[in-house]
Amino acid sequence: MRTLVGLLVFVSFALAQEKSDYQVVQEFQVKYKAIQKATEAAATVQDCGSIAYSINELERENADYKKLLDKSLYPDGFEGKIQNARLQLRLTQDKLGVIEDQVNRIAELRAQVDLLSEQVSQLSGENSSLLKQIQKMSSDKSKATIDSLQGLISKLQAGIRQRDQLIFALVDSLFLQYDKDVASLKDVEKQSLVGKIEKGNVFTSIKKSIRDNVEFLDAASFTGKDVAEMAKQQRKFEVQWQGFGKKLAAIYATGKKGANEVAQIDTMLADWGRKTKGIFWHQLNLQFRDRGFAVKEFSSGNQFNDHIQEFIDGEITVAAKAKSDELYKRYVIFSDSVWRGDVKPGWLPLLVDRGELSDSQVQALDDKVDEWRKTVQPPQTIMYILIALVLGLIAWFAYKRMQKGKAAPPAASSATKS
Amino acid sequence: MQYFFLVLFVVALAGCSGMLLKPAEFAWPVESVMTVDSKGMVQEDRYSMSFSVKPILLEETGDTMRMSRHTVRMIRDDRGYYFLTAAKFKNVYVLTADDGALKVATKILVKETGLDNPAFNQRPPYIQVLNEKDKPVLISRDGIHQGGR
Repeated sequence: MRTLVGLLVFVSFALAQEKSDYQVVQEFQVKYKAIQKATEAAATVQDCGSIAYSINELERENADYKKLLDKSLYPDGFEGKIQNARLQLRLTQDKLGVIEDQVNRIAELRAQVDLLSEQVSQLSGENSSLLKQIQKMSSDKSKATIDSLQGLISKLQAGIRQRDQLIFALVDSLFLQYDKDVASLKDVEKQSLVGKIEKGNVFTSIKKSIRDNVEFLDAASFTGKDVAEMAKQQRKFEVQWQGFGKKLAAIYATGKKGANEVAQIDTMLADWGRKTKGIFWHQLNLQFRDRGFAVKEFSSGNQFNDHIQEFIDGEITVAAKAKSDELYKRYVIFSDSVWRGDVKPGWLPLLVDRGELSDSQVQALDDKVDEWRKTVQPPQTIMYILIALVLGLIAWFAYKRMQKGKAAPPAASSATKS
Repeated sequence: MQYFFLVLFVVALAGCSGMLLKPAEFAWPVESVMTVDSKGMVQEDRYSMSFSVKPILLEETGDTMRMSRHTVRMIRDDRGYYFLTAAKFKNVYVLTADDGALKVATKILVKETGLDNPAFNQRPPYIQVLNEKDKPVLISRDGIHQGGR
């Protein structure tokens, strides 16, 4: 293993050595000239922030070639060139009346955008490979496969969730560079933001994320918990997009490419929402049906409310006619494993969050389940009567024994006399 | 008086034998890439030198009619030798400064089929020759030290 690592280090070192020094110097100079040109043309604080970021990047990328550049970039040397670039930028900032802290903050956000873009594309690759594995394994129903499939599903779910978060963090970092309302941005600022959005592949990443999420829904059959989690994610994505979508739409004129992208994402998101909703209701129906409770099929919050109420009413009517242990057991299974076990903690909060059910409806359903309990539960008064009966019998036997004990001595004394 | 003549003799002898200023370091940090003009001349701006590459072009390509298409690459090693090559060349030419001229000291065959896109790197005490994805070659005035052909 050590030898292999050593070999890899040697190979990568050898490969790194193969770059032409002339090329390194040329690339530095091309970037340096571009920075100089951008500094001359800078008109906003965002421009200055981007230039500050580019200078930092130029310094970072070439740190390993410092010695070569020091000798080659006569007479300034590497550090001299970087200092010159910073000095020129400072002069431009002074001319524009821009605050240094603001420029640094924008440069930091730019670096964050780059880092996030990199992470998003890395995660996208990992997620695609996981998705393929899941699709491949879904047809195999062996126990070992099901176990590892569940592991892969959880891993992919976490990966998709993380990527979604990164995308929105990226969009957030882009907008944070403009600390004012999008509508009040100048045309030049809008143009610059549009450039950054395109460079950051924002639309492509968001569309890819939605596509992956939809593909994931088709990839395998999921447990109720998975579906609940997926629905939660979809809702979160939708809410976040609603915020950014409006901002993005505001910076693109109608009919332009970006505006079409926003509209396209809206449509894709709606499709994803419909699909998630379909799977969500199907899976929630199964929570009852798979455990032998014939609740009429529902596909909305109101239907869910009505059909559950109707089902419990039916159970109550049957129980009211003739109470039995069987009916009580049936209630216990519904209450403990279905209602309190899964539906109430895992699904009801989602239904409320999605606006499908109100808090009062949830309370009414809970009350209905309680009403069912009262109907099927063996009455407590019978228990009291039984206890009283047992206690009465114990007292009666005790009294009888005492009576016997009092009657016994006279018989013994007459025997002594004779 | 005897000592005075002795010192005078030593100084005169030193002047005649050619004084050596040692050590000396001539290495260019990075190669120069120069375009050949229609007269077969190249101009190096940083070190202010110009020379004709016509004889070398003739030898390598057999054509001096379309010289201005060529770009030659040159680097100087720490000992002061110049190394020159170009795309399609099979050799690297080692040159030394002479009286108003550059003299070919040696010719090093690097790739028999010709170099595609060569580049020099300064790797003291050697010069590294890169060519696309080929293994880098280490050369000096004396010839190839590693890789090549």
